[in-house]
Amino acid sequence: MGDKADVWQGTLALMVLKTIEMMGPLHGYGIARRIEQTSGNLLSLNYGTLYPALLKLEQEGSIASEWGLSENNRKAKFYRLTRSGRKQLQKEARDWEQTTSILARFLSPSEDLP
Amino acid sequence: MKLLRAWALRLAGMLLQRGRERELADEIEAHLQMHSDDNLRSGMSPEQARREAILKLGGVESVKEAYRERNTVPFVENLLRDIRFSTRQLRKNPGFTWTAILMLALGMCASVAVFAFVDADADPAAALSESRPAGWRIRTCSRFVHDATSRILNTLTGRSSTKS
Repeated sequence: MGDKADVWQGTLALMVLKTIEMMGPLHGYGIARRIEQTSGNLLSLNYGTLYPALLKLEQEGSIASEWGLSENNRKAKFYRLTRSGRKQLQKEARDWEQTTSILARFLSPSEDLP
Repeated sequence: MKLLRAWALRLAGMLLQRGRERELADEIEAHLQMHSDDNLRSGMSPEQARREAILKLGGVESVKEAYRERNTVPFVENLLRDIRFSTRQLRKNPGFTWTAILMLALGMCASVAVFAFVDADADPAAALSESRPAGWRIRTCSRFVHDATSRILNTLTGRSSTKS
């Protein structure tokens, strides 16, 4: 796995966690659709990459899954956020905001520099 | 801690693979159905809806493969598969198996016997019992083996020969 894929995996995990936090328990397909919508369809998500990412988050204890019925009465696996997942989300969101704000300073240097 | 948990689950995943596999198949099937339902609603034909859903997923088998890789430890899994394969091969060729085992056993026995002799001879405690009538035959024999092996060892290690 190259560097690019790693970064992508990292951001994907954050998107998944945030989406589940916003929407409550959700199945894989719902998460994928929601991520695309939230990105304003700018992001073309390969739905297949979502499932290994979900498995990884589940193994790390950030999310838990159980079978349930979808809105169309289809059997589907629903993922929900665990307490440690919520904590992880807060931490990662903070880290990400810091990273982007630092980068923003570089990309558009403001005038209040001494 | 989180990493530890993930690895423990991956190791466990190797044992529980079969149930997991079916669950994944169900999950992917549910995904495809929901996606093709949506596609149907947006006015596609049933086949096109299904095909589009699979395309967007990136292929059912490749997803399963990626999932499996994440769920288990591929290295250990391959190792186990290799071991299973080789034991099967050995069982299929008993003649070869026994020849190989006998050769290895003989080789080990011979080396152990020779080096036990050398060790007994090089042992300083053995020098003290020189006067004991322990039989010169064994001593001469062991001296001979010792000389021969030390010559071999010296040529192998490139050291100048040291006479005992």
